[in-house]
Amino acid sequence: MAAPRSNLLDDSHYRASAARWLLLFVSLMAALLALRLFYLQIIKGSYHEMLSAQNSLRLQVVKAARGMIYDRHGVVIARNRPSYQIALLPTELKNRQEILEKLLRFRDSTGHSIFDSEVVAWSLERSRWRKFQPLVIFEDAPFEVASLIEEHQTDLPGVVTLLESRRTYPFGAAAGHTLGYMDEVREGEIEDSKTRAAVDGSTPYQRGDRIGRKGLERKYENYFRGKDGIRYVKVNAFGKEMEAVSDMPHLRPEAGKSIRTTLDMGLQCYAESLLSDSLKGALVALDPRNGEILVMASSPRMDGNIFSLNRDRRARAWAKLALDPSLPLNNRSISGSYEPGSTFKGIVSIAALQSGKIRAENHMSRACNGGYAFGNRVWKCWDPRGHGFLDLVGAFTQSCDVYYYQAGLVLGMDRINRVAREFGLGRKTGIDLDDERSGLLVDSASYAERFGQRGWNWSRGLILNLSIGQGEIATPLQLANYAAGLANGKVLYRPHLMREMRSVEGSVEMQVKPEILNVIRMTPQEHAIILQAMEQVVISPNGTAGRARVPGVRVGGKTGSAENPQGDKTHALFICAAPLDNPTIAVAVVLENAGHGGSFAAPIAGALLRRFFGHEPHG
Amino acid sequence: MSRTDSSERRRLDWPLLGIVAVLLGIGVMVVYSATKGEAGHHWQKQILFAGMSLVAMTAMYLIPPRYFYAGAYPLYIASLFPLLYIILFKANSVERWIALPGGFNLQPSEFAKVALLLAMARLLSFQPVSLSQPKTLLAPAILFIVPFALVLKEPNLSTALSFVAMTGMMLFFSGLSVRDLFFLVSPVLSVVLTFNHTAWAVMFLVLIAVMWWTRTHLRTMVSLILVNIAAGYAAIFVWNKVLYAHQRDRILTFMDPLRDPQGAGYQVLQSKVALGSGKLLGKGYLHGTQTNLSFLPEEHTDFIFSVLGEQFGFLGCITVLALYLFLLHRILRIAADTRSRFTALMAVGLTGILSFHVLVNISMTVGVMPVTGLPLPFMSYGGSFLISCFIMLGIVLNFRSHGEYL
Repeated sequence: MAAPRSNLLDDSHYRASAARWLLLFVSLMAALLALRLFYLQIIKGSYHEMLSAQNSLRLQVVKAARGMIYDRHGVVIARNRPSYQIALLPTELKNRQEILEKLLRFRDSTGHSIFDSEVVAWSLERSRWRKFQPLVIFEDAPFEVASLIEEHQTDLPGVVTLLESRRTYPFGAAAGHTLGYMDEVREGEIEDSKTRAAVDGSTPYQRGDRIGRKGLERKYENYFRGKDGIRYVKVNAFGKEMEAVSDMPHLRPEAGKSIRTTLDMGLQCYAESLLSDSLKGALVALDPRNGEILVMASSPRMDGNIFSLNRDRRARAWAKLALDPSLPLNNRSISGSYEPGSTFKGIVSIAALQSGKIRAENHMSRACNGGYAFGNRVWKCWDPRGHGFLDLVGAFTQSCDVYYYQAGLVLGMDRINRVAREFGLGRKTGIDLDDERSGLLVDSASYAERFGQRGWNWSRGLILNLSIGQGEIATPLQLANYAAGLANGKVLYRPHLMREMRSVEGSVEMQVKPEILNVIRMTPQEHAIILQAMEQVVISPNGTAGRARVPGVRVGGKTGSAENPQGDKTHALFICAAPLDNPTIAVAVVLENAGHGGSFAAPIAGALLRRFFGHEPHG
Repeated sequence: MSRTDSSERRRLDWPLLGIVAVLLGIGVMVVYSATKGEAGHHWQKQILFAGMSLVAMTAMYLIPPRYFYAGAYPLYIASLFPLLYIILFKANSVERWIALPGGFNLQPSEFAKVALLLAMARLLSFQPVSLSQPKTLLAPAILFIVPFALVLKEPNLSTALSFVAMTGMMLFFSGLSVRDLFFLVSPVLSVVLTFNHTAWAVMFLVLIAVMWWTRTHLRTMVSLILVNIAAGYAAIFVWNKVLYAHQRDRILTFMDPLRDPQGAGYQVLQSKVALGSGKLLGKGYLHGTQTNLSFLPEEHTDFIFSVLGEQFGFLGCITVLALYLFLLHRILRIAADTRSRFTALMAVGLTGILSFHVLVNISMTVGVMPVTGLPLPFMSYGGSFLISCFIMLGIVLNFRSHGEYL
């Protein structure tokens, strides 16, 4: 048990000396504390006594600046502006009646009272029991009003101006759905954020904070927010902050991160000028080489600036938006559910080429005479005059329904849907926005699941509708990405809006790399046929989309005119990509109940392409 | 120090118990003044806790010492299970205790504190340690690191650090020099200081200077420097590549609670104002304005010293500090006087825990250390820590009286 040096502890002199050293060490530390106490209590005693008597120190939260949003060229599309709030500090209010009278005496140039008597009276009343927070009596006040209150500060004890930062979108409604908006945080969200803060150490929200809603503002809220700072300030008898207390711990606010998006604001604004607000629909343009979204427009538009206005104006604007039957709050690009119509024929064509059952240069067994008899009824072709016998490229160019009825029956839905999934249909693309819809692909199993309860049964007749894109559901974003996949021919990228994240100093903190969603299994020969067919749609005299032509650029596309339950007119669709040799842009346009895709959607896409390739004047 | 004769040793250490009684009394008084007019019967409960503590101490005093010696290791093993239970089943809860029948809560970290004290005292009592023979440090290191890591994971940083203070003092007492302790702690310092290159460089300079000065063995020098460099870079790597942002944030808030804008910073401010406004003689008992208006949160637990300082001033604070030093002096005297290595080590370990709590708690109230929620021994409101202090005191007094030849 005893080791060589075990005797040290048995030596009473050693023990006594070690114990003395320990006591000396602790005594030294205690002496340092005594010095500190001497400093606090004797040297600074009177100062602390004064602070204790007035209790005039306040903890102040210093809000972090919210990160900005830029377009791909560095143009600011969301920034912050100062906003003045006139507020009452309940603990500093002395004579409430007098304050009320003085405030109501302020009049603007038209002779109207600046302050709303009801709001002021009610706030003064509330100030009797809501003691510990400022009560705002004039939200987002003009600078003149703020300076007026500052001038009369000594007459109005307890009335203060608070400076806040509010979000503003310099382009107004442009890209409004994509950007989202800011709104006051709700009680439940404050509670949730407190629970989360206990787990991951994030800063909880406070009453009066603003939080990102919808779009990028919501998606990247945690990055935009930054971290609030704190400091202690001494306040005077009017509740006015005099100075920061320097020897108290303080925490500098950490500005939020800024985001450089993939959007091209010039193109975005042009696209929105093409979609008038009376039209309902959406336009998405993206880069087939990496999935970067260039344009994302939804009509009617929504202006996120209204949420930064004061309560009255905000409430009025909000009511108008919320009650509008055309649902301007919806981002139709990602949550609009549309039947793809004839644009789906690209999928069926590829399935046909890959099946080995249909050869591109052959025609179907029956010619198109304006309709196709199957079972006990006749399915019509869109052109009642009929198309006769067509090969695949011809049928695609002229969008012959009868050809695709027969192709669908030969191929079966399983084979078609496998290709559709490869092109990203039937499932969310995973874009960095919430509220994205997944769309729908239909086969016998999903049909039974969806409609079985209503007593509807799957029949082969349904294949006829499905193979011309009636029955599937897709979002404009999915259609644009599908067009990108057709043009690219090798891979499908995940569409995304964030290009890079930057710190407030401007250093790049995160860069988004193109992410491959699916590998497209298509041989170069098959791809060449598809590109040829898409080009014929635009350039052939028989093609349905002559109005999407761009001088000097090979454009390929496919029109669609989808029957729908919402109205008599079809939804007009057009998907396209260009230049076909080396595609740099893919576009999808969907216009609700506008009519034929070739007549309404294709011209809009064409104008956008001409602008993109520099043929349309700027501005 | 003169050797006291055995008849004195057999009696209880009345001066020591006297100081503890005075501290306890002041504590109840201040708790009364801090919570006057609040619901919760705090001072009555505090008297109840004190009574329970006395019962626990008496029980510890009466158990034959050999049971503690024999039970040290089994108790140590047993103390690890409640810690594991907390980590495994209460990972997402702020609770760090286990509810026992009868409305009592078991604080596994307090239990582990007593068990580690016993086990470490037993181990070091027959195994001398030396840095030149690294093998001798292996067993104490393992004994220490397991409960330390578990308590750290709980997470209860302050209690884990009190283990460091306790073990450090015991190692010093059993022969490690201050230099050796510095060498042992240096990799931990590297982990922290690596984030500030100047500080890290200064630490290396000091380390090398000490090595040079004390003619440290070349092999020890080289390996220590390598270990320090490795620890520093490993820390940076883990920080940047392994931890997620929110985990980093959590650690930062843990080390520096002032990052929490609302909570800790406010407390420190109010504590400083309360203490400082007491000036030389204080505002008088029950006349504290700061505390009576409830501007000071946690006033009866972690910030009891500020309440004392406001009402009794600088003189009151110094008196209490002196009482603590006298108490530590009495406990260390047991270590000096006893013939039993085990008893001496127990006394030193207890000194480590008590002095750590006193120094860190007061440092926190005067605003020189982060707010970590460490109570002031014998004075802060609360049962668990009080009882565990009395249990350790009871064991040490027991050994002083009856454990001479163990």
